[in-house]
Amino acid sequence: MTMTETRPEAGAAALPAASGSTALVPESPGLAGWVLTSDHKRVGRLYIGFSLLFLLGALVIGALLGWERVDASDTQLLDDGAIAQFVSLHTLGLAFLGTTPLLLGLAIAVVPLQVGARSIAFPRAAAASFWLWLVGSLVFIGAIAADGGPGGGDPDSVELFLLAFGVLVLGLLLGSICVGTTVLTLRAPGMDLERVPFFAWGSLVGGVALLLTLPALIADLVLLYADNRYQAGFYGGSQGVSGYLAWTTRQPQVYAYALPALGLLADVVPVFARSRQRMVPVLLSAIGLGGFVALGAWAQSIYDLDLVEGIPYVAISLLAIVPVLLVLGVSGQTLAKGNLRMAAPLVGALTAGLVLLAGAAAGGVGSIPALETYGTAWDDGQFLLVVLGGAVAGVAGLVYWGPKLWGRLVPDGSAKGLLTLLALGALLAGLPLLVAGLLDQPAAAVNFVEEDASGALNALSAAGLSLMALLVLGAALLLLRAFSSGSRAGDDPWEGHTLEWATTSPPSPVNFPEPIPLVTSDRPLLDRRAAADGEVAR
Amino acid sequence: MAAVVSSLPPAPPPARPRMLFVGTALAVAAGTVLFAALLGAYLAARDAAGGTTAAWVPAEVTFREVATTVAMLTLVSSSVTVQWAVYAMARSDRRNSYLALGLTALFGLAYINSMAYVYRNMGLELARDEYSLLVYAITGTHVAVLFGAVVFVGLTAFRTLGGRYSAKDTEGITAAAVFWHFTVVVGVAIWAIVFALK
Repeated sequence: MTMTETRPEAGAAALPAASGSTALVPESPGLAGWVLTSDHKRVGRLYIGFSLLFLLGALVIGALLGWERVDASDTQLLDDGAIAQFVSLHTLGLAFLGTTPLLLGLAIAVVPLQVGARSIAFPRAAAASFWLWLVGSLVFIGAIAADGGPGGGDPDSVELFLLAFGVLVLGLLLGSICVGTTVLTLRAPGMDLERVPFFAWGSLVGGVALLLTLPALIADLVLLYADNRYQAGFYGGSQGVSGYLAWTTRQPQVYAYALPALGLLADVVPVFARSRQRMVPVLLSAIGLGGFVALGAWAQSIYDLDLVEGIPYVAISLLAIVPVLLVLGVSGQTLAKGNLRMAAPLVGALTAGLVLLAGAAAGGVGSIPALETYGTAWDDGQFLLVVLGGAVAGVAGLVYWGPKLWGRLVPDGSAKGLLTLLALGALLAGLPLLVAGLLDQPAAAVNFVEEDASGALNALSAAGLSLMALLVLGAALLLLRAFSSGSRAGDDPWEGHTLEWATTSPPSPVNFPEPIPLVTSDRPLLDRRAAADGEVAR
Repeated sequence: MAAVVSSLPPAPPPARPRMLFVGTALAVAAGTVLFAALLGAYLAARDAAGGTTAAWVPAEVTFREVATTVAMLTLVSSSVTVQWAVYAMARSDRRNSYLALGLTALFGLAYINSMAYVYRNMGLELARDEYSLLVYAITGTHVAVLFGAVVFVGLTAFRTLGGRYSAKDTEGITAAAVFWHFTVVVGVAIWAIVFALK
């Protein structure tokens, strides 16, 4: 007699049926329910809502600055003395109030679902991270409005600005710890790290990049606060602030804010190509490389201006092109081999990828010392391309995961057009500034010696930022309408590949009905569908 | 002959890193960058000032070197006591665990007290020069983080008293210990760079 001992397969068959049968526990109604919530989906939505609002504000200010630059000989629209603060509100606002929290909020809402967790790690800390960030952001804006930003004339407000900036960064760091810990410790049984969905992986890598760089910003803020509080003046007082913070809006640091966008692109493409992603290790490695490149705290040129002409800076800047190129290349191959379905999330993810590629390429080319672009408008253009590329990806993510966030679908046609125009707006905002940089237009300046083409280039960039502002407003209204009265989504409207599509739309407060899915591959739902269709799973 | 297939129970899920421990480790990584940046700024400023103690440290500053060294040794001792707490809890020795956590918090508070003494006696205005600003910024940030660690250890002690941890689950105490060791390492680095080498 032959005896064979087998363990029950922890396979696709063990996944719960993707039906709407799970009874939903109603969310607490009213404002108190939102204020006191520690449900990661609600915390994520709060992050998303406010970051879109702040993104809109930062874009409007950017557009005003852009139109102001069209005639660089004089200021017409803005107060002359407040230009430096408007510039700070625009750039720091885009990075720390817009794109980063938008992608972090998306991660807080979606990543626990993607890894099959019943909640985020440290749910109350995740809620605290949002409130820290929100309060910090509001005070940050208020302090700048009270003449307290970089170069501000009111010492108390400058101190408040530095303090608020530190608080909002602490909030982002706390949120990153929650997301990172979720991916590292709360994955469904069987989900090894190499089976983690790409967006979850990108959020982990991006979060770690933030954790390993933004504390250096806090160190700068501590020194600047002491310098301003005790009027020591060793770091230039309020005039010196922007110089010490400049590295946070320059490459390579700027890549850390948009890194989850690469994961989003890698997750979305196979779903809409109706094809299995065969090059998982390549994509995971590419995103990991992106995280390495994005460790930009060392590149603080205020301490050493020669640094930007050194080999490490140039090498890292050129290396930054590789992850974007790899993710786009592999995605292109998947699309070519698949059965394409050109839906809005795919359009958004691909166009965001192209904007990011333009940003990374601009970073690489701009780092070549012979071009002498450092400190010119080239830096502004490169920053805009990367950060706005991340924002476009964030909006694409909202359309893709809308069913899981709100239980409803965004109209595909409108979303497709909107995402395409958003990407075009981002390119229009950033690319002309690259050319202006080659014409020696200084970075972050409004009044400067004009070249012949400067006016037209700045007008194009201002038009791009204005278009972006209008479209972000349009996106917010479209999402608001769709998520309040749009068509109800099924549990798996896109025929997704990853675990978030195995639960209801929207998910119950515990995310997954028992049992937690057992995972045997990187695309568990695709396996289940293939098994159901009688196909060979692999 | 027919094959007989018998089932074994499902395989247990693979062992995972623990949540509080991993979260603390990520926080420690971030904290390491914070102090590396602060100490880097100190060393860069010292280098720019000529790199010698004579050119860098104001002549009127009088460090109580015994006090700073005793403070550092107190901190190092607290690393031993916090590890003692982990060791004791792993062996279900609750009494020793309570004692060790209490001593750890006490040593931490003693260090903060020592730093207050050093501040009071070194005769250095914060806004005097870049040196003074950096000294206060670095040591002040460390004291603030150490105070956070004291709170962490205190909360862990209360949870231990409430029966939350046992020999089978020492995660919370281990996480608190990891964070404590981090503050100790930073304290030693500050002592070496700021107070000993200056």
